Amino acid sequence: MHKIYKIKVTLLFSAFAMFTLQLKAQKKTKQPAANVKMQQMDSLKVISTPNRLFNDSGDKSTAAISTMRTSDLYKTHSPSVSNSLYGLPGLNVQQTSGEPGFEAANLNIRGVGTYGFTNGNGYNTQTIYVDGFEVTPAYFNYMSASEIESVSVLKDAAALATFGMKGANGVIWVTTKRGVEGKSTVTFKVRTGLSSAIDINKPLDSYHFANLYNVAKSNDNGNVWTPTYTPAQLAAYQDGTGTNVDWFAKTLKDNAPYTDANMVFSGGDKMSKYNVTFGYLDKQGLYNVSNTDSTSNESFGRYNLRANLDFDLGNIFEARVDLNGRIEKRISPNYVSSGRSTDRLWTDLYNYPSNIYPVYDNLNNTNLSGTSIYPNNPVGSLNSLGYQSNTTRFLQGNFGLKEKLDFITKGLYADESFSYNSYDLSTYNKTRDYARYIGGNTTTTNKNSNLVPTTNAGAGQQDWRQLLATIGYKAAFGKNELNSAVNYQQSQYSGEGTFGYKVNYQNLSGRVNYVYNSKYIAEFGFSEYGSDAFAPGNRFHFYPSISGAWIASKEDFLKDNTVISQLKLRASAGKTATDKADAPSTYGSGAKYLYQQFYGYTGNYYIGNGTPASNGGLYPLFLANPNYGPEESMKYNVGADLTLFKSLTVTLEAYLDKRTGILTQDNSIPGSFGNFIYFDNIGKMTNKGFEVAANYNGKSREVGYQLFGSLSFNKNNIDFQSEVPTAFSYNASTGRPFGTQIGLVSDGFYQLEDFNPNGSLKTGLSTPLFGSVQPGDLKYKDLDNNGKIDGLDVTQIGKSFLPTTNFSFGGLADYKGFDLSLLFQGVSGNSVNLLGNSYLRAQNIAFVGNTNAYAIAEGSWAYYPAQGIDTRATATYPRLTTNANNNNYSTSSFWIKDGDFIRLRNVELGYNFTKQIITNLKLQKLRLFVNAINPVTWSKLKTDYNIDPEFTSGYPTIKSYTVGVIATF
Amino acid sequence: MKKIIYFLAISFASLLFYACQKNFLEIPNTTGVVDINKVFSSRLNAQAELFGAYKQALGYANNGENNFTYSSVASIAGERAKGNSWHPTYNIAAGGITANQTIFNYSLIYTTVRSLWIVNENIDKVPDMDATLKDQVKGETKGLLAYMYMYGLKAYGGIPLVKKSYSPSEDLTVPRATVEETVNYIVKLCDEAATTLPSTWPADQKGRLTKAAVLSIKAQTLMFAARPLFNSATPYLSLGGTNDKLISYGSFSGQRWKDAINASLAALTEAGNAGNSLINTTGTANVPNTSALADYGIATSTPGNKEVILASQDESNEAARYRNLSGYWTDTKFNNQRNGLLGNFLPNYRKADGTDQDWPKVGDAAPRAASDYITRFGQMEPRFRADFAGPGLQAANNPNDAKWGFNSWGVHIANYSGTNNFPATNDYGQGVAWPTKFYYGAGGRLWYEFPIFRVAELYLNLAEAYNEDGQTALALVNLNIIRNRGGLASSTETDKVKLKALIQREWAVEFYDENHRFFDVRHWRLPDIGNGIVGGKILEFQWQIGSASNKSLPSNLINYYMSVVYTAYWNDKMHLEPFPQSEVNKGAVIQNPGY
Repeated sequence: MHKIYKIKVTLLFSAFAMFTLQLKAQKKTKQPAANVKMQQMDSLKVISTPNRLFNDSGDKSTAAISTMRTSDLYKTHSPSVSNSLYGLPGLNVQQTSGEPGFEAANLNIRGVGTYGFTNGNGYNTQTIYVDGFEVTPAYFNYMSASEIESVSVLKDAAALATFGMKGANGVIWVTTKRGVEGKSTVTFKVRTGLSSAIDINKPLDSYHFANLYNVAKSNDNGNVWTPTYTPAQLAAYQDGTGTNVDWFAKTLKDNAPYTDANMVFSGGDKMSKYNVTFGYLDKQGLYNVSNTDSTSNESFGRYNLRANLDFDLGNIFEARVDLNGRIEKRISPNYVSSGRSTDRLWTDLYNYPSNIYPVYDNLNNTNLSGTSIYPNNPVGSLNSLGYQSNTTRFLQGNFGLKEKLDFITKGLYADESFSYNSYDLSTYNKTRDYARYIGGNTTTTNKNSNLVPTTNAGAGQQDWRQLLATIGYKAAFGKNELNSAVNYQQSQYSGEGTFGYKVNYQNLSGRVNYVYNSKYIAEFGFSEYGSDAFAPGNRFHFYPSISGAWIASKEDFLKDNTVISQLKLRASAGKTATDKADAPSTYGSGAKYLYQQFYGYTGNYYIGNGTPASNGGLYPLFLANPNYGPEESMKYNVGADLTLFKSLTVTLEAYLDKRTGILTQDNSIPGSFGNFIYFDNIGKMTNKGFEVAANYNGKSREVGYQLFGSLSFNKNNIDFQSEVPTAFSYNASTGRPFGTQIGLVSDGFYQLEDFNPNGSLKTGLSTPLFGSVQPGDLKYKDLDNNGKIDGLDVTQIGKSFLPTTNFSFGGLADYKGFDLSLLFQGVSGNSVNLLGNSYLRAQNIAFVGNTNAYAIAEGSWAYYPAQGIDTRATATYPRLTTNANNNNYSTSSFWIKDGDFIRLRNVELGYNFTKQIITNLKLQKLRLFVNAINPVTWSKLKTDYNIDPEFTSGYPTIKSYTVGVIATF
Repeated sequence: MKKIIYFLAISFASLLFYACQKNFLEIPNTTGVVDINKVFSSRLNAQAELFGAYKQALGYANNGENNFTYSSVASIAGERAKGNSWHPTYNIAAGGITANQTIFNYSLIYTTVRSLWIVNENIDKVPDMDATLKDQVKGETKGLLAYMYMYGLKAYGGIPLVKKSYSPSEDLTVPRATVEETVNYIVKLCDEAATTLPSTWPADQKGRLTKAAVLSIKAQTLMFAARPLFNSATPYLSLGGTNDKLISYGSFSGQRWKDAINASLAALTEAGNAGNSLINTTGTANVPNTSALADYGIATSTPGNKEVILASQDESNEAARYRNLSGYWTDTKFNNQRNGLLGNFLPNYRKADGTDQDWPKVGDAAPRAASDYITRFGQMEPRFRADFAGPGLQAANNPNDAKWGFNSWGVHIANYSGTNNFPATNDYGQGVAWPTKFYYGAGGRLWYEFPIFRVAELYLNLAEAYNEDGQTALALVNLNIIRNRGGLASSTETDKVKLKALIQREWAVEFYDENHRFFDVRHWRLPDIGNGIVGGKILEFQWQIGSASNKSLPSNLINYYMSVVYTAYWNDKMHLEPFPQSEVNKGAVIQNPGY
């Protein structure tokens, strides 16, 4: 009775309970020594019992899943755990900015399978689940590595069978740490260090800038030498008396501190188990500004708490309560763009030449310089505008209850769980302005003003309620084993304010896994998934999958083989889908509710005499398509898990993903139809590739070592996208990989002899239609041979901006308590457009629009024999100009470069104190370590153009060095 | 044990109950936009869709709702300079219209057509609208459909005629109709609309289509049907075989001019009934109007004036961007800088006494003093002074407003240099004078109502059509009505060919920058179209100006001369527009010849 009462109380609080990975919680395996399990990615040994939504039960699994454990995640000290996921085969990771609070890496699973929902860049299209419940990327990205037990990547149809319309782009499955039965432990982890920019491509100094500017101005003046800067000015720049400001040096510090600390309390007995994690993190930005009442460096702070509690309530019931709270605080100087990133400042830093003005206009450094062309003195942007801050709060409660129904029939169980996840954002700013001076006079309308605080304002919130219930059955009869589950999922997501609208879905799914004689495995999975995106009657769709595995190493002919210790062959086929799509942009819901005809407001039309009155106009936003349905993915996968000589494990995967029904604007409809915005499920794409991962453990005398490596190759092709018919087949992007660079084909520079004396092009040369050309301009191939270079002469000029190959390798060794580990990672098969984004344009287009010049411009084509300038034969850059030049600065093969690189991601040297020492200190474990992130990069792009191959916008990526200690009591 | 089972049963039952809420996946409240049922469930919303279509239709080719985005059609019609290098008109002046750089937005014709058919087909569903108004709305939709097809006819020749709103599952193939079929369909739409539309709307509804407006659409359509581009045995270029009917009638017929006369007379009569008439305050036949500047200024500028039968009443500043060049305009002024009046067009204007002005010419021995410009400007006919200002001049259309004076033009208004570069070219784009049209007495009002039909058009229709029909006397009467209103003495020319030239010159002057010239010169098949009218050498004045910062002060002007500033492209294929290449690639239409 007492027991029942306890259950009732639990239920009153929990209503419905939450899905757990119970057996993992009960697992009693010892924590593997960090130096042995590091970088282990095999799917075979992750969890020894079935998950309800997918099968990762050791050798009973038929699925392609790769998993990473907490010890590897902890190695990368980044506020965002997404930066720690290098080395998971099939998961492609692209590091982004090092800006505090904006570090989240770009992730995708097996490349890009669709051009439909690409999230703008082909990354971050996967669905993420934490402890069985879907979460937003914002929730996942800033989880603490210390609270995570494992991160798995679900890749194939067998793994994704039950996910329905959440599965097409793969799933990242995260489990958090739970208590284990045994002695209570308290672990302190603390580390601190410094981070600095990997590299900054600094502009030319004033002297070199002015020399090139003189050439540019002369080029613009009909190749007549008309320098803007006099020899005296040039001499002043050279001897240091002229204005020459390194804006980067004035605004940035060499490095910035990073600290994180965690306290983990863990333990339990038969009745109850707990794992409580406290976390603290502080990361400061690189800006040279102090934290005062009126100024602030950029910073990110995080405080998180997670308490995962398990209760064993007797023979039938198990309950669990997970409570999770997190505060994220982002502060930045008040010079921000969207999302409070300080990208604007970087735009200025890259664009403002060194000679525009000294930082201060007067000798006692009180009046900041500024002009109407360069109004935002970077030093002023940091020091004189105040600051902005925002605070993000996550609050999540998961409640779960499991019933072991062995009294009905052995192996039957039920499980209900419920999650409530709330997100809230608020802002607080203190702002002011400053006057800009030149020569003692103000140059803009800005005035010095007092610091004004804003009222603390809510900026929106999101609520997410999810329910998951399962009835499962697991049993063995002789040589037969059966493991099955039927699940019901329901999700209700609603946002307020800037976060949009409600999204609901329902999913009835299930799996049956059958094993015969521990060797032959067959599995069937399905999802009947209903999305509110579609018309009634078209909301529910059925997605089945089948898979099988054969453990060949258990057959007699391999049983005693000394080479092959283990061999499993797998195959799967099945269907998943997504209800996400990028289009149409004219309607704020993404692709939802396209089945209904919506009207938007157009401008006013005025009627009436004398003082006419305005009438709002309505127009159809798009043409409704009542049959619109989900984009579907048919996935095929074959895999092998192999262990050789008991120490070399190899996992091989090959896959094919056929997409159909990608929501696409139908461009075959004639214009006379009258509404060109009509979307239909007509797009088709193919994505295929393979993954190889290998791991070798060895020992040589007292040195234990491990070598590992993995490689993922993804190649996609757009089969059909209803492209607006192009004039020539070579113009089309259809039939090429997603993101393929299309542009003009560069054919060297125009030379003097290409022109008639009056400046016109000689006959026989094709006329470019991008504006008049002169010697030194880029010449292009006239692909259609019509005598004109225009938009019809574009074709494939490079690879996609997304790499085809992602690889990583490394190793570790330990010797008498010392250990050393290394992780390298790289990509190949991608192209970078040097004019691809505004930051790249700032660095690679000299002078145009009053901007800067960089080293690349020193290779420009120029011919002024009287001045001793003649680079006609050696030019690596078109002639300089101060005017907009559509001819030279169009997308062309001239600006397309290979994006391959290899980076040393992580190197760590640690020492674990010997038992004798730590026992005296009443410790179970004591470890000291030093660690470096991103210390070295090899890249042609970096060598040639000093541009980071991975991230090219705004605040740079960072490298950092830390020291830390882990102590377990 | 029993209790446990009860408990489980209850919890699963409640779970299922929660799960099976029928409305769980129903569409949630999303945004403020409305769906089609709401549009036609109230008069307010239904009219909103109608007015949305009004805005699109009457703004067509005028308010940036087209492919040229900047400037106006005049910039590629030989009236105004080609604009800045990023303006599509600049590219077209340099390399002509191509199937990948068209000027009229082909798709937008049909987007508007579709919106109009949706209103036409659904208006009967509106509960709070009486039957008369519903009929009137149907008439308006047909009138606006006729207007869109008239634009299509003028620009492309025969075009696909969409006669209802299609659903995507239907066979969407609508081939090009012949010129004849297109004309007949427009006439049919106009006739149907005329039977239901009122002569006038209540004061608060003014601006909607009237009977006179649709009769004017019909009259203009029949004028284009009668003009030589279509009304000819041989097309301007051949498409081959029966396809020639897509770009011409394939035969000449004098009856087409008679039809145009009848339609114009009917429109003029109806306009008179509705209170629309030419503004001529002195008003006597064959007597030059002494207040011509004001009358013409009001007729082209004042919102709701009686001469305007139909205007695009889009009063947004955006729509006015390329026509208001006063000091009031503060936003992105540099975009307006290079659309001045061309020297090529200048000789169309006379002096006030009716004789031709002696402006500087290319090849003059020396530049002229700046004072010569100001003197000669003052001698020009009233319509010239209403439509233009220039360096050193106060705009005559806003005489006492400093923002319309030389002190505060929004931008530089002359191609100037600090040194005397005669006879070389300093710059292009600022032209020989600076447009001020559409802003008579406007003061600080930035917006304007673009006149689509003025009564003056009907008189010039009659002048041209009577002359072609051999009724020279009647032609002269109608021509002189326009000349006299413009302050000029009557013409007495009786030679058909010379009179034709005079009538064409009158069209040019009276309708400068009203989107007529582009089509007129093509449909007249003027032999010199590529030699100084649209294509060929483009002429503008060049100035030597002193060093003072204000480049328009009279005291700062030194001298001026005419020079060739650029060569504009012309090819005979440009008599009609190309269909977008993508439409041709889809197999939707047969491309016009030459593209």
